[in-house]
This record gives sequence, C-alpha cells and structure tokens, in this order.
Amino acid sequence: MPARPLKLDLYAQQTAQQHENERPPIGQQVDQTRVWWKSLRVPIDRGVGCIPPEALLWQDVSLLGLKPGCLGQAMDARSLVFLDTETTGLGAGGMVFLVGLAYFEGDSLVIEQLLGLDFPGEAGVLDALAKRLAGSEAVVTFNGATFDLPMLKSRAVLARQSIPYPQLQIDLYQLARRIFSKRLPRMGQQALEENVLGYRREGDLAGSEIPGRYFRFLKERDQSLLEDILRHNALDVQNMVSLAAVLCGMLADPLGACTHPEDIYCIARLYQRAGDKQKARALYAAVQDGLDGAAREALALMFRREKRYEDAFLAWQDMASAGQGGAGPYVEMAKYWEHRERNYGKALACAQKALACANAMEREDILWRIARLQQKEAKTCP
Amino acid sequence: MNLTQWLQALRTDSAFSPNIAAWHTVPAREARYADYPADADSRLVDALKGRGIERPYTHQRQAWDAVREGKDIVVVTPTASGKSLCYHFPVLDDILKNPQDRALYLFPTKALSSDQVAELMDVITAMDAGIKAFTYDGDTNPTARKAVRQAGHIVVTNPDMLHSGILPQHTHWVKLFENLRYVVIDEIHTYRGVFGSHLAHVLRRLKRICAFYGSDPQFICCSATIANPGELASRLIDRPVKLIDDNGAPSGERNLILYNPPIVNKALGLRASCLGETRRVASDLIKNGISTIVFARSRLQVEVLTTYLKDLVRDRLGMADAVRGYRGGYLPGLRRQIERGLRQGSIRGVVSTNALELGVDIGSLEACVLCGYPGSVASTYQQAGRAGRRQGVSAAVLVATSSPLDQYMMRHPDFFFEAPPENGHVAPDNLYILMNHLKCALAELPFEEGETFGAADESALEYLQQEGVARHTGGKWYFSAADVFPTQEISLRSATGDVFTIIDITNPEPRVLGETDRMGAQTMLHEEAIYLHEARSYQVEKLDFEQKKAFVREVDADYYTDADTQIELSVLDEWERYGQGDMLALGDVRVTSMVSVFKKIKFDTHENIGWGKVQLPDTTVHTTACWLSLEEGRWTMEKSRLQDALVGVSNLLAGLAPVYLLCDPRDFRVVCQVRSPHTGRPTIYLYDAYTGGVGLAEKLVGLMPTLLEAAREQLMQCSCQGGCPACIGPDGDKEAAGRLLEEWINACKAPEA
Repeated sequence: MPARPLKLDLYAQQTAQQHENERPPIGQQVDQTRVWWKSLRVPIDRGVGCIPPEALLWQDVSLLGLKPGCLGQAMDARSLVFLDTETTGLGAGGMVFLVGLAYFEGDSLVIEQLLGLDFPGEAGVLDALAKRLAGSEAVVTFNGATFDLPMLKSRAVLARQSIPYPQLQIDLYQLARRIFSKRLPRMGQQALEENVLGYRREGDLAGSEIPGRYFRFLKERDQSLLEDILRHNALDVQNMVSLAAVLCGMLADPLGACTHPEDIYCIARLYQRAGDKQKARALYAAVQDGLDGAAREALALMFRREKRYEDAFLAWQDMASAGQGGAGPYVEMAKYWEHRERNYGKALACAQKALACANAMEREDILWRIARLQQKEAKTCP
Repeated sequence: MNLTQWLQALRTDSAFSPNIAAWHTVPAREARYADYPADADSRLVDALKGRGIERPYTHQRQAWDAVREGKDIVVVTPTASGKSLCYHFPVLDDILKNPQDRALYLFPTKALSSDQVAELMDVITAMDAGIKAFTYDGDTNPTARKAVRQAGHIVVTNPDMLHSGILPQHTHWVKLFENLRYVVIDEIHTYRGVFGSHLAHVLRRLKRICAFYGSDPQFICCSATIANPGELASRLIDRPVKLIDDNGAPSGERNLILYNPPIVNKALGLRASCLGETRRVASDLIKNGISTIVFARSRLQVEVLTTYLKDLVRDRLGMADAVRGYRGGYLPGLRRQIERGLRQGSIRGVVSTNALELGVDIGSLEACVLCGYPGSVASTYQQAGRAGRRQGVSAAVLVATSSPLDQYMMRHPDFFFEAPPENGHVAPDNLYILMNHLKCALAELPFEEGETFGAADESALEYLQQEGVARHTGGKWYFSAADVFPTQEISLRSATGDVFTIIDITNPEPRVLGETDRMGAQTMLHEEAIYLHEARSYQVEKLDFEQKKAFVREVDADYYTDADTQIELSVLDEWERYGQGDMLALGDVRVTSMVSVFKKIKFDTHENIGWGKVQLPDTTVHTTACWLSLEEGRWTMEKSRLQDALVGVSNLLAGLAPVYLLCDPRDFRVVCQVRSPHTGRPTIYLYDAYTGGVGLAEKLVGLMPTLLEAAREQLMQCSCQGGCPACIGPDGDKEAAGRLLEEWINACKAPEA
C-alpha cells in the first residue's frame, strides 16, 4: 500500500482545487517507506498574483532559450519540466531531500514533490527524478545552472546513479539577469516575484532555515515540521511557471509588455548579442531619448561595427545635441571627422567641445588629441 | 681568490682559525650508474638522454624496480641527487603505455610544485606524446580548473588544496579517482609534528575516496636525510614502505666548519655576536666573488643581514641587487625572480630563513654560512647541502650563537658529526586533529557501520551525532550539519591558520608587500613596528587585526624593532604524577601568548635606544605539558634566589631538550612560575608548541633524568663566572641553579613512591 500522503493545506492564498493523488505515479521502484510523493493539480486558469499558469501556454516559449549567440530553442510549453530542489547544505555533505517539479498535463499544472525520508531516501528521490525527466524536452530552473543541476549530478555520482537530463536546460535566473540588470538591484526569485508578478509571499519559511527544520524533522518525526518546507518549495516551482510566462511576454513584445525603458534597453542588448540586429536596433530606437543616451550609444557602436560610419556619426550627434553622454559623443565625432572625412577643422571643433565637458580622467587624452589635430591641421593648411 | 684558496687562507688566519671548533671534510665521490630498464618506453628514455641523463643513478633504477613490483617506496637521498627522476620515470612510462592512467603529485609549497612542473613539462614536450600535467592550486584560474579536472594526466598540488579544493569536490574528479595509479609525495620530511598528522589524515580521506571509485594507487615518497624516513613514510601513508637509499649521485669535496665566536667579555662569558661574525664571514666570501647563501634563524635576522651585505655590494649607481634577501612571506613573483637570478649568476649572495631549505633548485652555490645552529642535525645538513652540487669544492660554515644548544654542539662536535639526524615525528592521533578530519571525511562519503578512520571508531561518530553533525540511519552514518563547512575549520599548518597581508601605502597606489601568519603579525606588525622588507624599512601605521591587514609606510630609520612575547600558562587537567614527592607531572595546559612591549634597536651598534607599547589581542593554545615542581621544604637557600634558580634551570632545559627529544627547538617551550597556582610550588613547565600536543611532553617524562644530568654537566663545564647564554642565561645565579638541579636529580634517583 502506498504511504498516505501528507494532509497539507498548501496555497492558502489560492482558491485552487486540491486533488490528492493516491496512485503511485512511477511503478514499484520507488521505496515507499523512504520517499514520499506528493502531487497536486492546479487548474491552469488560477494562479498567484495576476498571472495564471496557462499564460505560459499562450507564449512563444522558444524565447526562453534566448541568449548570446542563440535566438531561442524550439520548445513546446507542455514538454517543459520546471524543477527546484531543497538541500541540507550548499557543498560537500549536503544532500538533496526534496525535489519539486511542475509541468502541464491536460488542463492542469501538476506540482509534484519527491521528498526523501532521511538520508537513505535520497537515492529513491534521484531515481524517481530520473524517471520523470526521461522523455522531457527541457528542464527549467531558477539558478539551477549554478546550484541545482550540479548538486543533483554530484549526489547522483555518490549514489552511483545517472540522471538523464534533457539537452535543453533553461535557467530563469540567468535570463532575468539579462533583462533586469539595469534596473533591479536584487534578482532573486522572491524579488522578481514582487517586482514582476506583483506577488509577495506571506509567512514563507526563510531558505536559510530549511536545513535546520529538516534535521529537526528527522529527529522528532513530526510531520507538521515539513509543511512549511513543502509549501515554500511548491511556491518556488509554481511561481517559476508564471515568471517564465511574463519573461516570454516581455521578450516577444518588449514595447507592448515592458513598462520600464531600462528593461527594453537590456532586451535590445540581448537581441543584439543573440544575433537579431534588426530587432535590437528597433528597440534601441524606441528608448533613445532617455537613459542618458545609453541606447543611442549602443546604436552608434552597432553601426560602427557594421562600418556604417555615417549612421554612427548621426547617432553620436543626436546624443551630443540631447546633452547625453558628456564628452564621449564629441570625441567620437572628432574621430569621424579626422579619420573618415579628414576634416581636421571640424574634428578640432568637436574635440574642443569635448574638452569643455570632460571630466578629470578624460582631459589628458582629449588634450593630446587636440594637440595632434592641431599638428595635422598645420601640415595640411599652408 | 677562489673557494679552495679561501679555505686554505682560513686555516692560517689568526683571527679565525683559533675559533674553529671542528673542520670536517667529506671527500669527493664518483657517480654510480645503472642501466635503463629494458621495458622502459623508448620515447621516454630518448627524452631523458636528450636532457643529459645518459644512464640513471643506482637509486633511480632501484626506485623503478620497486615501483614496478607494486611496492610503496620512500627514496632518501640528499639534495641534487636526481630524486625527482625516481618518480617522473615510472609515472611517465606508465602513462605512455596506459593513457587513461592518472597520477597525483603532492608538494608542500607552491614554489616547489611550480619548479617541478616546469621540469616535467620539458620532458613531456620532448616526448611529444600528448601527456598533460597541470598545477591545481589556489592560483589556478577558474576556467583552467575544469580542464585540469577532465584532462590532466598528472595533477600537481599541495596538501592544503587537496584537503579543501579536491577531496570535498571529488564528484567533479571522477576521472582522476577512477584511474589513479600513483600518488607522489615529495619532501615528506617536512610533514612532521602537526603538519604531518594533518597530512596523514588527508591521505586517509584520499584512500577512502579512491576505494569508492575503485582505485588503489601506489605511493612514491621522497625524503631528505632524517633518522627514520621509512617509519615516517609508513606512518603517513599507513602502509609498509620499501626504503631506497643507495645514493649513486656524485658530489664534489664538501667542507663543514664549526665556528665558535671568540669570548669578548671573560667575566660575563659573553661571546662576539653570531650575527656580526656571520656578517664577517659572508662578506669575505662575497667580496671574493664566491657565490654564497646565508641562513639566518629569524626573519628579522634575514633583513638585518641583507641590509649589511647589500651595502657591501652597492655599486657606483647605488645598485645592490647582487645580494638578495629571501623569506617565506615574500610574494611568489619576487621569489621566482630571485631563484632565476641565482641560476643565471646575476645574484651572488642570498640571505634566507629556512624557506630555501626545501629543495628549490637554485643552481650551484659554492658556500653556505649558517647564522646559528638550525636546531637539528638534519636541517644543518640540508642547509649545508645548498652549497655545492655535482662537482667542485664547497664549504659550509656554522657560526654558533651563545645559546646552550649551540654551545653544546661546539663542545661536542663528534655528537654533531656522528649522531643520527633527528627523527621525523608524526603526532600520535591528536584527537583535535582527528575529529576535524573525521567530519571532513563524513561530509565526503557516508561511513558504513563498523568502518573506522584512524583511531576513530563508532564512539567518535556517536559523539558527532550528539553534536548534531552526524546521523546514524539505514546502516550508515551521514553528515547532517547545516551550516558547517568542515574543511574551513582546519588549517593544515598552524594553530589558527590566519594569514595577514602587508600593504604598502607609501604611494597613492597601495601595493601588497607580503604575508605573514598570526604570530608573525603580533611580533612584527604591531603599530609603530619597523618592518623590514628587502632591506628597506617600513613603519607600521595601522594593524587591522579583524581584517587581517597591516598598513605600512616606507621610512628612513636607523633602527629596527624587536617585540617581546610574554607567556601565561594555566593547567587544565593533570593526568599522571611521577617521582618522589610528585616532582614530575603530565597533563593539559592552556597557554596564552601576549605581546605588550617592543624594543628599538639601532643598526650596527645594536644598542637599545627606546621602547614602545603594543596593544594586541592574545593568542591562546591548548596543548600537553610536563612540569617539574619542587617539594615543600626542599629549598634551603634564601627565597630570593629561587627565582633566579628557576630561570637558570629553565634556560638549560630549553636549550638541551631538543638534543634528547631529537626535535626542533621551536617545537616546544619552557615557562617557569615561582609559585604556580596549580601546584602551589616552584614549577617549570615544558610544553608542546602545537595545539593538542604532538607527543613531546610525554616523551620528555621518560627522558627527564637524563636531561637533568646533562643540564648539570653543561652548567659545571661552563667557564663563565656568573652565568651566560650558554648555560643559565646572562646575569644568573649559577650556584642556585646548580642547587635546584641537584634537588631534582636526587628526587629522580630516590625510589618511587
């Protein structure tokens, strides 16, 4: 007989239906006395904050794979597995005691939790995870590239198992950093939930307290001690789905979905590095008036790299006229006049303007440039 | 003058030759060769021949044979005898034939490992066979680390990195551990005392992890000449070893001269200063263009001597780079520079502490001057061994200080030349060290029921469970502490493991001058101290003890500073009492060292020109000690003379115990209390200078009668009138000290209660 699942009341803020599944999901190989399996189904039109899980199904999830050098990975939202682990420590000696998973099935979002009862249970958790991941197309984590996945791999080696990770591995934290780094000081999952989903967790257990709580449970065997951990983990994994939906929306239609120019700028840069220069240019253009000329500067540099020197010059000129960027644009204009047009008079004029608004560190270089230009001018004009 | 002529002149020099206590000449020796093994890979043999090694020496061939037989070995030969070939040869041959095999090389310091890797790379490139050797230590950058883990055939590292950077992350090193065939441990004689105990445990953890991945590597160890290399190696790797010590390398004629500075004050028994005499000898050698290395006892002495000798070689442009100082606290870049200069000959003189004692290759220096007895015969031969390589005459001059130990050596040169070099001790299972490593081992792999770790069995794991660190379930023991990082709780080298950085703020851009440890910081980096570095003076403006940073500014000072360390000792636990009237006891003590005052000493004249106060936190260490106490009513002289007697006897015991314990004088200390709180009597404490104790105090209990007799003999034979550094210390009370010794000697002889 399978172990009786915990009677936990998760998702207090939601009015979601809870459905406890008593059927063991993965055959007989899970040692029922050592691994608890808990699964809940959340209707996809109900979620936390204002983003229901089904929002992800309307998105172009291939954009989750957007990164330098890559314009995205063809993926089906229904084949994504979202994953988050809880461990007893950060390095050697830490074990994985809880793996939370979320994936779409029918008209529900399934939240599945594999909990190891004590150390020997870890092997069962890893085994169950391996079976779950087999056949999935992509695994999505939050900071998993640095933490969860290496940790799982390490623990698997120790347990002499191997987990078949799908080829595609998406780390939402890395993606979020590429979008929000100019604006948000902190981009941990809960910070993003607040800033992006507009959702604040109430009474959630602090991550640092989780290992201690688990060890207490091992000693005292009081199931209620686990409730907070399971709730925290379930929220982690479910909110990842909503976050992913929002990020996809922003990437697909930045001008429509983003409210902050800094985010649009960052997305422009992401598209630029991913290889879609056209889209990048359009986005930069949309925010060129603000950000102290950061977007104009980016455009100028893009043009220059493509050897479109006149367009670059115009961008620098716009920056200068708008009073953006200090001495920089003037210096670039001077360079253009000097090297492209060989018009030393105009180059000098720009250099002088640069000097007028230079800071202490720039002064020396600009003075040197002026001196050199004067020499050149003297040579060409008899 | 060349060295041979210089030595001739020395024999007849009236200012020098009367003070020569002994002159020992070891004649030149021919090389003894063997053949390359028939089954050695020809690419390797060709590469070695290409480097000038036409045939291997006898000991190199023997090492190969023993390794091929599957034995663990320890090779014992002096410096410059090609010992590194003893391991490169069999290891490279195996990797050529089995490219999936791996080897791990352990060196005590990064400086040494980088040299060996350079040499190894030369051979590997000559073979062009795709063997990869990498260094993996704190300096390896993160992107390179991955490459080393995946692809390195030979991984070169040090015990600290193995302890905290490799073993705990063993799941990232699967390729290495699955295929590990050889573990090479060089310079094992350095792994004595506490450091040795740490290494033994680290190796235990290594073997455990190898067993998990299914490998069982062979150990190839190399040692300098100590009395018991086989025993030491065997204790470190916890397996029997085969000794390879038939040294076939050639050497030129070597001279070892024991020089005792003349007495300059007969009444007080004071001798000319060792520092001054060393300066004289070294100056003479360097002036004659003879390449010389000077070994001094302390960093301070190194700096002072460097200053003097640099003045000697300063040219018209004011450059004095032909003489360099060399010290452990210097940054690696500077160290390498000095080593290169020596190899190329642009540097003619080097002043060093024993940092160079470890076989870093510095080309052939002809002469070596030791400022004071290094504390052990083994160290003396090692330092003397820096001078002279395969051919040509070399000389080592040992200049004695006034300490009882040095004077003992001068008086008994036969002891020096014939005594066995000292033992390398490995501390018996110091529980403090053992438990820390047990935690690390537990975090690396769970323990099976019944599995032991050194002396630790299930009771130790039970203890850890009570502390919340371990958990016993499902037939295994698991690591179950949340916020604990066991590897960070240990430093392999010292009680505290702190590293202090010294930052020069003279210029707008601060730069890091060097590093030192906690003890060094207390004595050298207190505020207002004059810190000497490469013969320039800096004054310490601020010491941030919490942040472990010292800020110094260059100054032009004509003095240097020397800090006084004060010791406070209290007994924690007494285990045993011995002898009549409980004169001798053994137990645990707590020792606190404080620095509160420093002296200002003028260069050249060495006069004391002032002092200052020091405000610094104390360092506390728990260790083992034995103590001698005097029974009530046994002191028949005036009470006022008891203090002097205690100090005098302490000085004697501290000076002579290393001879009998066969240890380094720095390994233990002596402190006396006229009315000790614990015993209520006049007491002298002798304690191990390491946390947890290393077994010296225990050994001393058995040796006490012999030691007391030797102390009495030294006292009586000393020609001074009122005490001198060689016996009871200057301005002492010889009669009172003698009386005290008599009391204790008699108490030893009386039948035990």
